Amino acid sequence: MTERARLVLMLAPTVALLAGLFLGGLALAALRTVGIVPLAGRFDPTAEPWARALGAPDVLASIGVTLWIASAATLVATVLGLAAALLLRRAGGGRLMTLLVQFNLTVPHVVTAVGLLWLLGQSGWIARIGHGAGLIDRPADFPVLVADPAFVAVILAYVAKEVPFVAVVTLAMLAAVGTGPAETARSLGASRWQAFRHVTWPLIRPGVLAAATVVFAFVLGTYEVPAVLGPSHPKALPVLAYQMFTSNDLADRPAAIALSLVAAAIGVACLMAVRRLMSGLPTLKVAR
Amino acid sequence: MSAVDLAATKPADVAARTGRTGIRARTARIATGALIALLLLPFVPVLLWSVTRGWFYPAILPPALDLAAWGVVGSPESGIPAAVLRSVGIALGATVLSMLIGVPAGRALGLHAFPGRRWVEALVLAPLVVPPLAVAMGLHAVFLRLGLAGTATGVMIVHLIPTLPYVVLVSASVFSRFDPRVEDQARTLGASRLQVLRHVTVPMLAPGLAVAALFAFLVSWSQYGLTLLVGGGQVPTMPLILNQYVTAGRSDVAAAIALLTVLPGLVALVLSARILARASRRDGEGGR
Amino acid sequence: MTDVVLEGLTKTYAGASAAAVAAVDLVLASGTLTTLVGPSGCGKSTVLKLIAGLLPPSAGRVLIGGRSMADVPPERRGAVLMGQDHGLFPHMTVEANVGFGLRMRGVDPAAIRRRAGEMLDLVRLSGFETRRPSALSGGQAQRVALARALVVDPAVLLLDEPLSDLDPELRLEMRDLIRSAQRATGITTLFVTHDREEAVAVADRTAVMLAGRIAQQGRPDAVFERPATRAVAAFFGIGNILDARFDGRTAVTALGCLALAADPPPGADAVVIRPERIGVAAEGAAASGGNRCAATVVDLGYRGTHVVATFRADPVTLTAAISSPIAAGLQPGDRVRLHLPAEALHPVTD
Repeated sequence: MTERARLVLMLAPTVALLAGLFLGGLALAALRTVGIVPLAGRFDPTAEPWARALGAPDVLASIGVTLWIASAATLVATVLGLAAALLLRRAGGGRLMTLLVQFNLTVPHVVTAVGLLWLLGQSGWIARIGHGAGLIDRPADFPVLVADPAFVAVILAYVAKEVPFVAVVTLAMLAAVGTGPAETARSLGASRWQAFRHVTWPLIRPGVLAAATVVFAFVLGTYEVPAVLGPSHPKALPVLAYQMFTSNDLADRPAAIALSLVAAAIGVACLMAVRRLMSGLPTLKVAR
Repeated sequence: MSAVDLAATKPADVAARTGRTGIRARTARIATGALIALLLLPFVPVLLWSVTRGWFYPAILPPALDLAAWGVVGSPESGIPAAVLRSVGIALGATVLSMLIGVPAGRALGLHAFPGRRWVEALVLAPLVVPPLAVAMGLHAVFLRLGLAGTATGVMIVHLIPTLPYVVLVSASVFSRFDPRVEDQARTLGASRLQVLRHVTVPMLAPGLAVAALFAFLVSWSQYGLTLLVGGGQVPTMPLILNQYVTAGRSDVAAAIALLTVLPGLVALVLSARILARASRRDGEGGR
Repeated sequence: MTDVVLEGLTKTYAGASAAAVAAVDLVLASGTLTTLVGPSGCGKSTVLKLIAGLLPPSAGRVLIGGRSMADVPPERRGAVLMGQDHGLFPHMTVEANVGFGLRMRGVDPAAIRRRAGEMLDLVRLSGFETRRPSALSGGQAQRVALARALVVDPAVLLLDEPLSDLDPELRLEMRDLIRSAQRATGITTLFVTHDREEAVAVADRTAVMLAGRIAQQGRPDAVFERPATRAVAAFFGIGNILDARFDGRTAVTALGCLALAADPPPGADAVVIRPERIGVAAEGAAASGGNRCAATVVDLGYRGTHVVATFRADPVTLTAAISSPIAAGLQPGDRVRLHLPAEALHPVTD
């Protein structure tokens, strides 16, 4: 067997499966929104689903809050994740501490969301502690953090989940860069902060930004967190799209797909950004 | 700026500096501890709810120990034991399939340069960055037609979209640290292709591939949106059942389910840390 | 110009049973180049990190210019470390790399450019200012690293195996460049290497480090020719070690009584002789004087510049480096007479 044939055999199943399921699903979805359903042999091109999707009440508000959630969660998670990685390293990075930081990474989103529901709700655990401390009297005195218009609990759920992700990526980047460059900088007269600012940070920045982009795209498309913790109005994009998809009016279906394609399109843009960032990471390239 | 000037520093200044550096490691440990506490805070009400009932505002601690929730979790009528089996089955199936399909592709990407490599990389990365909602909606009609919608098999297949890329990426990084010349070496020492695989390749790569499998299992186990869309509510996995009990107001049962849902992640985290620690110890000894 | 003094410097890593660096006393005289030579793992790189302040010592202290560095952070020591992988910052141009130290000190940009230019000139890399490290050859990168170290006018330059990643020709060129730059700037330098020849070729002084301790220090030729201990002798490739008792200037060995040129130090229990100092003559050749013994040729190994000959002089085996013409007349099994000149025989302690 030639080298070439072996390579093709090794790659073919993965490529076929992802092309079939992922690209195929995406293509069918896109066709459906313009009135083409290959399986049913239907071909009546129309822009009606898009008009319906974008014209539906709350859609613009929905896209707006979704971008707000994704931006806020990404910003906070990236800053805290970076801080967590640097703190872990500064603290000597004990195994138990590292494991505890990573723990949330393994927790399904829905569990974190439910935990925050019981923690931050108006009769939740923190409100009860507030009552115990004499700060509030009735649940209504506690600030609305769950199902609130600012999506505070939703954002915090993503932060709790994604801080470990950013921290793990940052730790891997720090390990790949090693302590050499910073030590060289120190011996050339840079303070601890200058060595980080001018040498270590520029070297790990692409990886950290790539992680942040992945977090952003992920938040855009996750259903269960806003479903558990978000308000009923306006809804996050995935929740709105799912409800339209399963509504009794079958005409809503193509419109729902159009909405989820909006999220997918932002995701594709994120993918290209991630690939650009990762091409600047010689240490992490898999090819020899 | 002569050398002596550089070395000469006011003693007070020096003391202030080192004083601060000395405290910093401890401060870092405290700050990391605080961050970990914040990240784990959502699990406090989950833990408390799992061992009580009728725990109302403003009680900070549960009024009494009540393990009724665990009785419900264990009883067949609740459907929870079946959900555990269903979730485990789907996750195991998705893991085995993605390992069989993805490890060869990981080897190709980890060890070889070939034309079109960029596209394969992009295709593998895409499902991790692009929100899957549109993909699942596009596939929905096909799955309906094939009789896969609303079945565990259909859910397992659609779980391959996120699990397969994880397996490919993790195994690519495992293979990129593998020197295939040891295989040639084994061949020249008289091992057959199969013997090489059995005695050289697999033992060397086993730890990394085990971690890939653990990842794949967890990714499938945690899925929510894809399961909901393709399963159409007829394939209630653990995350879905959890939300059902939350909506139904049975916080105690929901908490017990949440703990069960977190368990595999905890096990996987500890296992993968062990596996990787042992592997790095072994490699370290081999290098000496 | 500054001298550097290490006093009882000790470093034990957490969890390690033995000290990586054990009570090292060493003086680097102002403006000199000292080599610290030893096998890999002997703790010599740790010494550099301790001087640079990148590791805290377990005991002892470092004085730079007479001032204790105990509480001085790395950036205030003026001790610049240059490692074997050049350590250039990959995201900066050559000029930004060279100017880095000055930038950290807040020197104004015009002055940085000028000084960086001068230093690149010194290492003969003018015109490379805007290149990235990835576009440099190994030798060029190492020269940039040298310029980057010199530009801050360090109190002490710490070189950690700076030549070990280079090709043989480049090594010689870079070695000479380091030596001439060091002479030109008069910067006190500590040069760490495992290469014996390199250690004695560039140094004003050489210190031999074995298992965390300084086993011997002195002028390079003295260390090379007159090792103080068996271990130092073995490190410098002297296999000819004869157990001995001493009676005044006479060593009583398995080969009989050998005359020495000087009194042995107290505690000496063996004599050594470098392979190239052993004389070889045909068995019947007229020879006078002592320190001669009969031997049989066991093996002859051609080494290009010389031949390594192994002789059996019961009950010991001796190795000599002899010239090709002499070797041409020999064959394994031949009987010869070896001459161990008194001035080349050197007593060592255990």
